Amino acid sequence: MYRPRTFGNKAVLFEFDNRIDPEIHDQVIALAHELNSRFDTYIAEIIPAYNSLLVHLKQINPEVFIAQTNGIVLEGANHKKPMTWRIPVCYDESLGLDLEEVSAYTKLDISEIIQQHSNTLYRFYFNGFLPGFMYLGGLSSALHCPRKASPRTQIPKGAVGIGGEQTGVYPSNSPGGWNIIGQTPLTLFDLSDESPTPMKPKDLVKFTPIDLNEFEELNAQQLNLAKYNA
Amino acid sequence: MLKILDPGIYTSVQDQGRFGYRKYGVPVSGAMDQDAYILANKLVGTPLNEAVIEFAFVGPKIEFLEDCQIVLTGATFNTFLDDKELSIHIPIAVTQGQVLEIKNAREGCYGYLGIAGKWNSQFVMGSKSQYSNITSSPRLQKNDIVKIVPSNGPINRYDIQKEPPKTEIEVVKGPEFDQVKGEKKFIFNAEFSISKNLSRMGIKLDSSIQLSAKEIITSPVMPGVIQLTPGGEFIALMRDAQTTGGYARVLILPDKSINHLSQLKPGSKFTFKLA
Repeated sequence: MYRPRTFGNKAVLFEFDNRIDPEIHDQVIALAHELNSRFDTYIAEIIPAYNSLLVHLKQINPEVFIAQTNGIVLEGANHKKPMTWRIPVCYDESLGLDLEEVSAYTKLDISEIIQQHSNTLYRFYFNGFLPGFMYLGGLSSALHCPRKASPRTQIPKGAVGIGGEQTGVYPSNSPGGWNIIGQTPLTLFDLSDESPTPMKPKDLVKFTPIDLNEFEELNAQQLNLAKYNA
Repeated sequence: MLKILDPGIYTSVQDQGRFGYRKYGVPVSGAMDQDAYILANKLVGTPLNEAVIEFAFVGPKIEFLEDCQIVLTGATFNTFLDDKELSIHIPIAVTQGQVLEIKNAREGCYGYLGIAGKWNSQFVMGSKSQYSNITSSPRLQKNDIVKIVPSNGPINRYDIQKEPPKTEIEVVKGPEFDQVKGEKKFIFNAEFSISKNLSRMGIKLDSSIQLSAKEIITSPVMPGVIQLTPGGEFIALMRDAQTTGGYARVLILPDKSINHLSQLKPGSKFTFKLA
């Protein structure tokens, strides 16, 4: 089911079956909860991913921690109901800079791209790559599209993109190679909040199309994800 | 308080790093050479987790806006206080209006300026370490003011032996070590060198060995992880490393080794030794 191994001199990596699968991710998150509730004093922080979990330790040797956590049963740890977060996206071509390119590659009309992209409930797996960047699962295979041959040096905060088999939102201005199909006016990573994002792994994401006027209105309000969904 | 007259190549406020936020994708950051950073605070009698100024290759020019006690640690830089050359590891008192000019590094890469007192630099998520999109600026810029309330703590003088840069770097095996394609034992026989492609985020290593590894399903990484790409490149992740990655994690540098590797200049040759 899972296998622990030492990861340097201060961490343990727990590895699950080698594939991206919601059920495996359920187990990853269940293990994170179990470890947090039972071994809190030894844990500096836990970093989950698709099918693995890194535990950064304090005051304990990795081998000892592995021995102590041996035989944890994950049953019944999955009681929490995931939240669904709505993220408004303006797919106007003035913001969706690569809609035409994606359309040419996928052989879908722009309206079909928008429909396919916004009709899916995406699973939030974990943050990585950039502060607040969400790894999402569930992009329709019809929308898979290779990354741009040369990355842009500046992509605006909130840009929604497709890169290979993944879709996601740039949480801050940054360089990037994904095809940009729209933009959200929300702040997804809010440093002024106690926890910069309210999303928990396993939560669901729904992109809801908005027009340019709504984009401008929401943009002026500078809402974060929690406030918009309140 | 002090003022940055010239920021040099890459100068930033750093401390022990930012822990507890990696699940949000926020890197650890912190001083590249943690031993040298802690030593700086020790020498000026400041709490060991207080911030310092880190500089690389060519350091900053700094004007002190009030009297304070300072010390230099880490790499050896050609350093002048007004016209007087300064030595490393010796705390000294500076007076308002004096200018510290940290020129090029003679040995090593990262140097530290410790200052006795309370640093009122921007504090985000438990750390004063500067990082892009976390603090308002990723590093110190010309004319920036660094706010420090000076204290006159006990100055500590130790007889510190400056160690030469390491030519042997201790590592342990990473989770994908066994998946390396090619003669794995070459990793411990071959000569590696530091390439010019380096930053606080990572260092690309040059070597003549022909090994590679398949990509993995994106999984956590941390400072000290050495990745091997399908194209055969070795990349040592350093303090500003991303929190997850898709390359095979073939080796891991224990904390001390991260400090050692960070001080090797581009072109420096070294070997890996299994700890």
